Amino acid sequence: MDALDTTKFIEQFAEVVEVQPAELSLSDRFREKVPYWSSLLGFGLLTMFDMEYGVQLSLDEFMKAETVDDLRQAVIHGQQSPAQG
Amino acid sequence: MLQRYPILAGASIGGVAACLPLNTIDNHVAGRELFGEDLESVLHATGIDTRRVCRLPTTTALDLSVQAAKRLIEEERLVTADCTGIVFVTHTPDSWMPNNASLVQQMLGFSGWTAALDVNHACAGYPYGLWVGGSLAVSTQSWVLVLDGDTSNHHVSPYDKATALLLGDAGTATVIVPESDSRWRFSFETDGRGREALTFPAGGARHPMTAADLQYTGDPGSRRRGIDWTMDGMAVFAYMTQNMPRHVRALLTEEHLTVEDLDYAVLHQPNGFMLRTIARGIGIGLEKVPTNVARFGNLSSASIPTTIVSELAEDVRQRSTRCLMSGFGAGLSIASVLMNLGPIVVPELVEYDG
Repeated sequence: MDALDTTKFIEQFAEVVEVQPAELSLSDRFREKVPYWSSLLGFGLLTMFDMEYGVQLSLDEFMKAETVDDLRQAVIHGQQSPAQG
Repeated sequence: MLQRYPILAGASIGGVAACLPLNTIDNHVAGRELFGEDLESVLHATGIDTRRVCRLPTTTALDLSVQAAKRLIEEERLVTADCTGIVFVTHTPDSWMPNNASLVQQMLGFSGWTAALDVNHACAGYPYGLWVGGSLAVSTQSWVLVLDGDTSNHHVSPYDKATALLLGDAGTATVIVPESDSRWRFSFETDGRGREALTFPAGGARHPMTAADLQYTGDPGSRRRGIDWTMDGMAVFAYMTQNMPRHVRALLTEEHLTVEDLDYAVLHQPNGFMLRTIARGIGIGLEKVPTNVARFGNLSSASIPTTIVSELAEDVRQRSTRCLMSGFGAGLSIASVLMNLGPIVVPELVEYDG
């Protein structure tokens, strides 16, 4: 079921938060790693997950995530769950 | 046959002018108390360093737009008696009645044979103004004045993080003239399900203003009055970044064009991050997307004409450019027009001490 390409996910993530993909890894705590992290960038990520993966993460799920991998797992989990209303 | 992409043949832009308040707010100072240590991160994302905000609470979009119009009429040497229509795009009119356009007729001394109407729109307003104004110019075969301005800051809570450091005030004027060779192509989209995402909740007929609507309420960080701009930033961001790329590509396809064929995409600029995200979605290089949001703030529907004046004047004074103009915002609404812009008259940016 894990159809999520990690390299591609990191590329997409990096593009949204406007850093180089090479500077970002799964274990990074993105709120600390991304220079000038702000909630606006969070909006960008949530929208990207929806557009690229059809997954609508709740704000709660997003706030719980600490690392890039936490978000990757949340997206995978979202893909496996039935669509939300 | 139904035409989803309205064509307007026979009108072109003759000139564009813009007027901003002289008063400048430095967000890096003004936001310290509200945002604390998060301030620089927030400003880095929104990209809004300074904003133009009316110094006086009594200065309105009408004042700024009339200043722009006077300068444009003077520079174009237009005969005011020949103007057949005034269209005023705004969500901050002087009053509910009469409309702003009627006031302009008197202020600028236009003839009694002038059609005068307002278009109630926010950030998507400018293409609507061009559609209505262009139609008037074609049907009367004379020139028409489209004013477009908002003084949003009179209706913004200084305690609401979503809007406090976002908006700028501006007024603009665009002259539309009949021109047989010209052809404009529009696209308009509306989704009223998103009506709550950008709204003044109180003060209209549905929710008349009460004493309670003048009190600041809500959680820290989002305290505002019932009469203030209320914005669900996430909802607007998601809707526009998901729909704008499709909307723009569809219009270009209809005209057998690609982004490569455009000289400029003059987009509404809600904030820097959203502008870049939308440009990336459309697939257009940022060098073709002029912006002034860093200096002036989000100018609502006046974003597009003000950007033509502040960023493109030198070019469009001299040559014809293939332009896409797209506004998007409250409604929720998206409005676009494709046209050849230039050579046109563009006076220097007007500044108003008020």
